[in-house]
Amino acid sequence: MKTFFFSITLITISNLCVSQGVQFSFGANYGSYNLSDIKLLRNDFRQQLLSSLPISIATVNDFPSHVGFDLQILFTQKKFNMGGFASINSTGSRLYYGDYSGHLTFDQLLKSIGIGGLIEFIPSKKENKRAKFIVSSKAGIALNSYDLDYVLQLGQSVDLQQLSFRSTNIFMMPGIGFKKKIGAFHFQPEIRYLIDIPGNLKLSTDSNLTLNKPNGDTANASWSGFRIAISIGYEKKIK
Amino acid sequence: MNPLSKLLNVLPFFILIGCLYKPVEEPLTSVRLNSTTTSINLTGLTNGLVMPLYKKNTFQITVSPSGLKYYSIEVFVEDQLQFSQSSSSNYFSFELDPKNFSDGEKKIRILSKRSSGTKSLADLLGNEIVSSENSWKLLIDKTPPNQVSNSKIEIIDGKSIIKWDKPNKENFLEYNIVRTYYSKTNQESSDTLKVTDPKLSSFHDTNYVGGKVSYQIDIKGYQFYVAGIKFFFDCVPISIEFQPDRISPYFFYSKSILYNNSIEVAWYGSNFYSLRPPTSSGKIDINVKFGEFIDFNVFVKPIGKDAYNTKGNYSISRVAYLGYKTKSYFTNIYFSQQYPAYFLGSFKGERLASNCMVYKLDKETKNPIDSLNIPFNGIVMSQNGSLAYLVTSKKLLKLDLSTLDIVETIDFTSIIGSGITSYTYDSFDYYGVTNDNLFYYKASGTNSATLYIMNLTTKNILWSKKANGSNHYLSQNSQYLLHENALYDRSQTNNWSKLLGKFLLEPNSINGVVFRENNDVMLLLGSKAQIYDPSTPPSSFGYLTPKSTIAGSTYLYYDPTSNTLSGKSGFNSNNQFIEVVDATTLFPIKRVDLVLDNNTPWYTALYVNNTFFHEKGLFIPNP
Repeated sequence: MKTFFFSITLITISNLCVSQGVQFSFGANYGSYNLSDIKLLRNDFRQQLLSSLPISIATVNDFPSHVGFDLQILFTQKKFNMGGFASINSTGSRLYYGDYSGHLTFDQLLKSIGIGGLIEFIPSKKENKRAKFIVSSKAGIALNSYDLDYVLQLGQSVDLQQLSFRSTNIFMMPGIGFKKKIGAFHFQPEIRYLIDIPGNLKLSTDSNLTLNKPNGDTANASWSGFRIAISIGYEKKIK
Repeated sequence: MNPLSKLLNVLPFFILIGCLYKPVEEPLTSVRLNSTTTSINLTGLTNGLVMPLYKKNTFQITVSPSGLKYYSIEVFVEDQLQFSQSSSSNYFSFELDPKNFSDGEKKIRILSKRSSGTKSLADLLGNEIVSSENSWKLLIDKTPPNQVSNSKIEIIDGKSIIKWDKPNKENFLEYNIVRTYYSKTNQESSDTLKVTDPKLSSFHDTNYVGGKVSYQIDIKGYQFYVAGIKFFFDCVPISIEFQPDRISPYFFYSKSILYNNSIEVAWYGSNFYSLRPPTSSGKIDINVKFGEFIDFNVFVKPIGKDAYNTKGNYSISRVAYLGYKTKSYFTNIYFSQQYPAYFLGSFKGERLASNCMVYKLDKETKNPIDSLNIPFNGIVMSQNGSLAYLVTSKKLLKLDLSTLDIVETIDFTSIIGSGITSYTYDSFDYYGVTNDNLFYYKASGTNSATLYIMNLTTKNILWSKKANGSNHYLSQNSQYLLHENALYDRSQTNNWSKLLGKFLLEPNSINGVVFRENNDVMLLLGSKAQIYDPSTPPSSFGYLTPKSTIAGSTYLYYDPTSNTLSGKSGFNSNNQFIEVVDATTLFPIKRVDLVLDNNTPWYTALYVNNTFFHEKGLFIPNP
């Protein structure tokens, strides 16, 4: 991990030395998440719950696509832009039943904060105002949190049980898109695919304990999937 | 502030507010409220009524509605918790013991809790409980009631109905009717009939089979017992009469006075079996052929019960139906030495502790009209009703029965010899008289007994023999001697010491023998009576083969007036009868069962002058 950060930092500094400008951009992404182990655990919990309580429990949310956000900094050259980025994505699910006597809620909340380096390649050599095709690739690590909240409330009595897990993933996310400059600002839509190498989910209070699937294998949170992203940025020329 | 600074200022808020996923809320699920009300049913208790609690009782509680997840009850008597239980079933049971409470009326209150049944989340988790309460009244009374009084038994429409006056209270569990049967020997056998309804004051003893019985109606409470007063009852359940017939003999039975009791008359025989309810009179044919016999018993017993394990059994041990066609007469009579003897229905000899009494009887009433006291302790015998003999260890007295005088005294000492003085009178002595002779078996020791035969006229000893054994009989004409279970014959010569034949007889245990006048037949009385012809012995040593067999009889009497032989069968009170056979043909012609008379002895019983009687003076009407 240290080597990874060291390499990114070194590339960024070296690129900074030869760069023509610095771009700051902020974007949003929207996509799908694999999360197969998490869904499996949710289904297993649902089955166990229904076997003990014959209630019409509803799956209110089922790990929906949710807007994520990116921050990135790029040191620009003619065809290659290099820099770093930070992103945050979250999703979750909720099982819910409620009536006049109380309610039962089982929430799974997932959050992933990714940081890493990126590179953009702009094939076009023309200097004009038209949008330019770009190919990009990001690589980095993602710090994941997986929180389980179980709430049973009957009248004024509330029973709350919480568990929290953590994992670290390594990912790579190639993408293609366009970049349209409007003065110092630019507008950049992209489509990306996140390839995740997930790590094991470990109990936050005791990293020796891992979350296991019903078959005994360790569970992980894989965020792999397509992303549609759009970002806006500001570039400052370096003289 | 430039645009970048503005963007950087607001960006964190966007991230914080908009970036993170938050689950959406869901509206509540509607639940249909269950409006059923709770009811508590307590088995045996009715609202508003007071239930008596006179014994330990198990109550059953059903809480409605059923099928819910959770139920619980708490039972209070006078606000004291007696029982509590939780269950997934709506059924509970608990026990109350009156001994734990004082007498009086008590309030029993039951508090019930159950799931609501709404299927709401709280209900499914067992946290939605509906409570209800109900109460009843119990009556505790442990003070015993009065004794049952005025108890009696009545026969109504063929039923034996026990009646009594009810006690002053009904706080008891049951009537225990202790029924005791008394056998003919006054042995008691008891059982208990239970009447579990205290409100009753009568009871049909359907199993009463007749006979002497006593009842005692006791009251049994939970912790008390009140004994009643014993009362007696007796009735003859059925009259059974043997009707001999030369072609088809049968039993006639009358309609039972207990015809509506659950009893039956059961007939058990070796070749014959039938059950007939005593609801009407009728007859039972006896399938016996000439020369055969059948054993069977008659029982009056409860329907469906084993006759051998029930009370009030009556039995007829044997019916014989046979004949012997040679016309002849039996002339010898043998009486036991220990029991009174009847002579032709007009005299009775009685041996007492130190003397003997001979009574002359009125022929109609059988009461003594004259008597003779003989100062000797001996046995009285008669052979023809005109003369009787009394034998002691030393003397033989000849009595004239018409005048009740001692007409002759014979001193054995002078006849038998000096040894006679050492003889002692004991139960091993046997005596008999014929027309001419006395035979006298003197047992002075186990291996030194001697049998004498003496001519009564000449007083000469005709024959004497050292002998063991117990049965010695002389034929009327002194031609045959039954001695040590062997037959001696001097019919061809006059020499007693010369025995022409020796034949073993069966059975070995012989109680008596009668020789017919012309000696062609002798009747042996043993466990079964058998008829032999001594003139046709087997060619070699062996057993004599009976020509025929008749009913077992311990004693036999020949009555020349009616030309009948009568004897009594059976050794115990349950199995006795007097059978009369024609002395010529040996056909059975009359029979009287003695079993219905509790006082029937098991000794002599005779048929004389067309009248049955036996030594106890019980005269039985001629059937």
